[in-house]
Amino acid sequence: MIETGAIFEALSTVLTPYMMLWLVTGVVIGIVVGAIPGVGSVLGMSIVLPLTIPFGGTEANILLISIFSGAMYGSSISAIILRVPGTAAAAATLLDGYPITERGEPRYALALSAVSSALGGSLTMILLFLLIPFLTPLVLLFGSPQIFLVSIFGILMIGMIASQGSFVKGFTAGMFGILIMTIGLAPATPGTRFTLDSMLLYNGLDFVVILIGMFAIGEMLRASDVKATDLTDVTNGGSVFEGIRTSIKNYYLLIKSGLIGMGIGAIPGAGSSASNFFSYAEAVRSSSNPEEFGTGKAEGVIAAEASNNGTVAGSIMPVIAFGVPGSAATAVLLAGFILHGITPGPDLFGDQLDFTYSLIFALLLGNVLILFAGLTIVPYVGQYISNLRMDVIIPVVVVLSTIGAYTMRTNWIDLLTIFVFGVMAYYMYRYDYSVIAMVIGAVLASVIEVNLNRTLVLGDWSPIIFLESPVSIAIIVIMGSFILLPFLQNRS
Amino acid sequence: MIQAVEKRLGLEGGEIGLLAAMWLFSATLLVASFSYDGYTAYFPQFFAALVIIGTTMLLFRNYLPEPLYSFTAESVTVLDEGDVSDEVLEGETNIDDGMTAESDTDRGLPLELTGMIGGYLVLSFFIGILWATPVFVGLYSHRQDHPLRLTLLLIALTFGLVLLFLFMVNIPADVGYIHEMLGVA
Repeated sequence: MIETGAIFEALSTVLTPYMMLWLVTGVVIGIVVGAIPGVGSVLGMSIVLPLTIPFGGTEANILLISIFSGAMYGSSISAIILRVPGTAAAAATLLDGYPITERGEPRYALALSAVSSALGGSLTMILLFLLIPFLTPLVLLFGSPQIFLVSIFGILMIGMIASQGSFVKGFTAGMFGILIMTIGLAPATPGTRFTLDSMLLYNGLDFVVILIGMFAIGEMLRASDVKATDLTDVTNGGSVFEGIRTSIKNYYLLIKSGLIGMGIGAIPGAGSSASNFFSYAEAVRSSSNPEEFGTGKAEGVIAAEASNNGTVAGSIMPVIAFGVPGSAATAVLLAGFILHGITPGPDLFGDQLDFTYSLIFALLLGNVLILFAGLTIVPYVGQYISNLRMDVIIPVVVVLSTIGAYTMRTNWIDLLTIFVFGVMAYYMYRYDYSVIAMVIGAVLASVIEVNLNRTLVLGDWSPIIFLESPVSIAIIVIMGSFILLPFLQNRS
Repeated sequence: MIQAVEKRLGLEGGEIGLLAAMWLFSATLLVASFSYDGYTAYFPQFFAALVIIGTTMLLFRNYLPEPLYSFTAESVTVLDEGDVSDEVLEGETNIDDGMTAESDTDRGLPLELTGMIGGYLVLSFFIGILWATPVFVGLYSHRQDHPLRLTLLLIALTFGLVLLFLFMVNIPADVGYIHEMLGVA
């Protein structure tokens, strides 16, 4: 049943000048960070997160989710203009977007991207809005045992997908993320652990600080030799109107790609980097002229862009429903929830349903902003944003990360934390260990510890309680299948 | 010595260091956890044991018997993105979570930048983030051969950002350990 009270409350929250300001700010930041190769939504959200501390949960999370959505579109700008995607989410966009630029029509490609992103994102948000009443009974089936299991499952799956090397690498990274958070005050039982009798470690390590270290400092170390691309050959031509017309004419492809993006986004670990290729591959497969893809075909841009913005709706589903992020960006979003005292799960479908609807409405409005900016401003200034030099960005990001980390608790241990985890992230990237699994392990550590404790107390310290519910058994069976997948694949 | 270990394990020094650090940290926590009781001890013990098993398998993966070797070292495909991604992207670009073709992680850790960041954090601890920021940004910009105008612009921008945090969130970014020692914090 649709909760009209919560819907009206959410609308009255979002449609205020104050909230619109946060929304516009978020979308603009998102487009800018998305358009700069090597920056992207995760870094942008990570460094903005500490700044949201003085503000309320709704505005803070609307800001974060708007950055996420704006960056999905923003990443296409550099893919189209420079042949370098802002993030992996726009990797498939460049395949046809850049050849259009080479033809001298970047404005046409940017318009295709803006319309596809906005319509793909809006369509999937409307679908998510309609799905909320059906998700509610499913979410209410989840108690402590199921939340514990699904959290572990999320980390395992992300570790498996994100670690390009092996399952054990992803698994170990995720478990290490949980382990480092056992330092300090124990969340489920009275007392502290591993503090070395120092007050600096009394509250343990802060997952937001770890996240800043790994996603911001680690990325800057990794990106330190990225050079700006020469813009001298870019001709700023093409018709914006023609881009709008072509996108709307391909409405079936646009809807299909948006839905593919949403479906893949809901799978932990898959995300926009996978969905844009899936949609692109499907567009090639279903086309009557597949040989034209890769030469500047509009359908290639439409498929990739509609799907990556559709991913946003899919990827926030597991976060709001179960508190399990499916990607690095949603891990930062979950950190934003926890930082502002918002508990994902049944609460977001009950007492705090208006908050959930607020996020959906904000994202819907955000897509309108993306459309407006994408058709009016970006075609004229996009190339200058995308060509910001990494050697100029690095000191700004380092300073923002440092002050952001210190802001969390004014604890000097946090400066050491960002440095150590930044260097660690650099090596983890280098050897294909999943940084995302480790961060998600750290973010979910207290949820896992509290729910495991609660489950064991409920079950009189017997693990049999995990086999007493069909939902738990289903999660265990699915988890077992994923763990056994490497064995089965290698045998076949 | 390091080369001998690398050769024996069949891994690069950086990966050995990463795994050894994770192993040592987990082992330390596992041992220390025995000084606690009940669930307070069990939880870290369980996860420390898992990390120790994982890192040990990864460190010695080239010595593992066949089924275990495949499980530990070989990749697994959960989502097949189709043939398009590999075929079409070949020769186009090298994309890995937002990094571009020009970002080459095969080189070593960028020691100069790492050192500068480390130095900035240490200086921030002693004199406060606000005052350490222009030193770090100025030095970094100088090492990048930026024109003076850009250096000054970056210093002004980052100093302004720290000031913004200082006033917005009211954090003591203008004082450090030295201020505390001198009693002026």
